[in-house]
Amino acid sequence: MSDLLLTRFVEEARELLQAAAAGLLVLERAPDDDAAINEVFRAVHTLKGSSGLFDAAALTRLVHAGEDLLAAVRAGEFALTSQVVDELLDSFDQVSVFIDQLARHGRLAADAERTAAHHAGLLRAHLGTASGGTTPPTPDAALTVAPTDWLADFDAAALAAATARHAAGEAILVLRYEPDAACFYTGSDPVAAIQQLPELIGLAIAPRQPWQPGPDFDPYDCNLRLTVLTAATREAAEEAMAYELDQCAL
Amino acid sequence: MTEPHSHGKRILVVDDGMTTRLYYRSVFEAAGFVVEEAANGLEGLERALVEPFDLLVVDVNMPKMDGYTLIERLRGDAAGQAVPIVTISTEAGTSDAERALEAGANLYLIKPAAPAALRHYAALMTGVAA
Repeated sequence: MSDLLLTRFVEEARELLQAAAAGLLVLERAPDDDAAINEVFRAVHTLKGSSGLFDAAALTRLVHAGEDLLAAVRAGEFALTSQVVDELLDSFDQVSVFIDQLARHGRLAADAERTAAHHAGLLRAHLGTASGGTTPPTPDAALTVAPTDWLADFDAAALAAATARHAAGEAILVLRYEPDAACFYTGSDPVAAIQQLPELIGLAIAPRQPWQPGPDFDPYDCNLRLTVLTAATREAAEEAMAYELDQCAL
Repeated sequence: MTEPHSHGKRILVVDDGMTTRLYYRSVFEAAGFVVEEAANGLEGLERALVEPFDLLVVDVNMPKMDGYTLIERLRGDAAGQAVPIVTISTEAGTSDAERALEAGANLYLIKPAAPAALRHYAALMTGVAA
């Protein structure tokens, strides 16, 4: 994408974020101000449309979460509180940081996915609990239906334990977590992270790709896929893995 | 980069995102089109009613007037019945596409539309040899 287009985007994004923040400050005092809700929604919607033109998926994902929450507010499915307004402002501050990264380096920082997932998780958590509100499935939803071949990673004992609990009437989740290859450089511990999951029944660790032989082997490159069986609810699993959700499927 | 041969076909881009408008402009101008811009639905409608265009590229969710209304109003006027219209939106649901097509759009694309797709459809809809 050309430099001119990126320059234009940075300029437009800063204007839109400013408009969104101004509207949110109005909403903090007057949560039912329809004109302000529309203005904030429009700014965020336009920003989402423009951001899709660039290699900045984390930015788009976070803006999209904000847009979905604002759409629910606009539709009267969710009432804004000052806490939610603060979270939206925090999220848009983070989007500003992403815009600065794009302006300076032409790309987002290495931890952008993780940061975006954290903020988006907070915003989406409100949608999950909105009374009467339904969250429409979004094309970039972090969670997808687990294919059954994931079970091949487990040993017989884990499968037997899961089967027994399933037979006893419990819903069993299969969650797969493929940590970012560079996760060891950002202080992540994928195995510790996945053990935060409640009601863990089985954990299987396998290489994503065949291990590289001899001199090509990079011990600092995370080539793992971690698959777990858990009796936790989907909500509990999503909460426990909020920081890693963009790298998970269940 | 060689200067594209201009065939003089005119496209009106109606989108409230200025980055998006610049993107469409660069894509279409590289294929020899003359590109005009409108920043909202109302401005787009007013221009399309009085100026001749060979193609309209219309966003859905815009201030002042949305894309559906623009298309309906335009199709309801003798001046706007013939011009081909492509709607491009971030909304990926089939109901959004149906609504645009019912309003009178000829094609519904989902953002971000790739340059090759934009040029292909623009050439096809304006009768330019791609």
